[in-house]
Amino acid sequence: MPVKHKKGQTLGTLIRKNMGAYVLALPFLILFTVFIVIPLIVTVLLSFFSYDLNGGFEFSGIENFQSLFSMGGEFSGAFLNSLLIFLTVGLGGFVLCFAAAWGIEFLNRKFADILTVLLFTVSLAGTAVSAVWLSGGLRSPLNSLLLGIGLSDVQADFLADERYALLCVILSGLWSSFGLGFLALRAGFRKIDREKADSAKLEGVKNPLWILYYAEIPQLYPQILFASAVQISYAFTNSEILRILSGTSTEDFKAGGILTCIFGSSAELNTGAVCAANFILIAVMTAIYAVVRFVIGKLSKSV
Amino acid sequence: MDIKKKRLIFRCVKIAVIVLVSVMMIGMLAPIYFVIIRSFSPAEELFPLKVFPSKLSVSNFADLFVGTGALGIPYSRNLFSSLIITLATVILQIPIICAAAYVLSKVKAPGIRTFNKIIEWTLILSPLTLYAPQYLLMLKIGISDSLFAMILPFIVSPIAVYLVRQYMNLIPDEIVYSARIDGASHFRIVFGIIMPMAKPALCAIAIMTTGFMWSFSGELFVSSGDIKPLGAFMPIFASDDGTVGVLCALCAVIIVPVIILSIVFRKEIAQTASFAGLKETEK
Repeated sequence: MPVKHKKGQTLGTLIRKNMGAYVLALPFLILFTVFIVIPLIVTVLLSFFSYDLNGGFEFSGIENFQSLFSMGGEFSGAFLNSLLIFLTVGLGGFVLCFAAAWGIEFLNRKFADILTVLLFTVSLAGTAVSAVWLSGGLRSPLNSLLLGIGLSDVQADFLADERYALLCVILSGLWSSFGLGFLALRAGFRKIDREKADSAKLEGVKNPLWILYYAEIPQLYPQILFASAVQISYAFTNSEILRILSGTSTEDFKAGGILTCIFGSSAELNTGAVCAANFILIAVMTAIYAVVRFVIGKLSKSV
Repeated sequence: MDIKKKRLIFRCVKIAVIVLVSVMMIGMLAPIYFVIIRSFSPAEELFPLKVFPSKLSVSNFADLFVGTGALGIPYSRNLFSSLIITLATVILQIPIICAAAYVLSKVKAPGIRTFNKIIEWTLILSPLTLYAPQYLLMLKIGISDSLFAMILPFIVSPIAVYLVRQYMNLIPDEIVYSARIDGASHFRIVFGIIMPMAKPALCAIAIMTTGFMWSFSGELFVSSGDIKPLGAFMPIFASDDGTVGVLCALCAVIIVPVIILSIVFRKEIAQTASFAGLKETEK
């Protein structure tokens, strides 16, 4: 650490000594508090209170949650959709990222760099481009393309059709999942200490999967943790971005998750129930993240 | 014989991976190619879908931004709005994130450890997941339905600050230490020494933010048509056969700048990928 502190220094002197650092972090801290910490507290508080526009608060226990689940199965459906999208886009996207990051490692360095940048770029454009192909209901560009190549019976308003909506969301989600998590995994593979892998090769281990599992993955835990955090955050929000960009209304959207419920139901639900839905969303995300952190923490200690 | 067999299997796996990646690349590149090529196609070239149109024109872009053709109204004002929110977010974000990441990574002072823990736990929160309470809050402080509502919530991203912090962890502490001994302030160290060194990570963050903001539709954040960013208008053009060209032009406007940025900063992206070894924090 840059400045060594002598023992026995009081908290006050320590703080005064580092005043410059605190001032530097201040803009971030203010915005972080206003736009992340306070909304979090508001979510938790409001989901247990009933709130009316006159400013009156009243503790209502789990009433808000009850009203969520009693609205005709709509919220439970959204909840299941969110989990399903997480299992496919979140987990599947992670596996894809990992496989791509690993596979690229076998190519020569220049080609590997080009492919890394290409995947990152292409996935940045993914959601907007899939929204273009899917927007416009029955007259969407995808429909006219299918008509053009002779598949005239596969005509649908894809995002508003129960048969296709989830599939579209999943494909578009997988397409644009090579973001920062992918970059971090590539970084991880790049800086791996090859000593263990090389000695395994010398001893005659030829199976690359064996080397990956025993010699490489243990060095990648921090990257895996970061990439999974990115994937969790992404899997729960991306379908909503696709919905908005393609102009599908929340009622029509057949692959809506919890976030769709929050965005679309502001008219029917009171603020308390919206916050309760938000609370559930954040709780589910945090629970998954906590499990991932716990497992990775255990694994990295056992190495 | 056995070794030969194994080598063969290994080679097969290698080829399979290459084939898989190329199929994926084609699957992802083709839709982008068609959107861009169609944005330059005049109306008569749009149907049926052509891989190489015989004529190219910029009429779709003219329709969109000058207001010629069927639209009648120009969307240049919304282009301006998109430009403002993207530039403002990136320009404010880079120094703020950089300074915070420096404090998180290189300063040992009371409270910084807690700060680090909080960032690690809030990694999964993106602005959209907190939309509902944020909206209530912005309504209270009176910035809803303004450009600020589309800028301020997107500046602080835990993921961005975490990535930059991890990158900075790789910069030797001795650099900061010796600068401190020479009497440099934290402010000078961050913006004079550390920021240029962390350029690759900052570039990746900037491109990510640009990609998000430039395609941002502003739905629910703003309701006035004048300040809505470009992303808000994609659904409108999609519902009519006559505006498919304009839709593709709009989508091209949305994706091409990001693609160009990634190509310009390809070295930095590859560098983030080669050095951003996110080592475990011992703090």
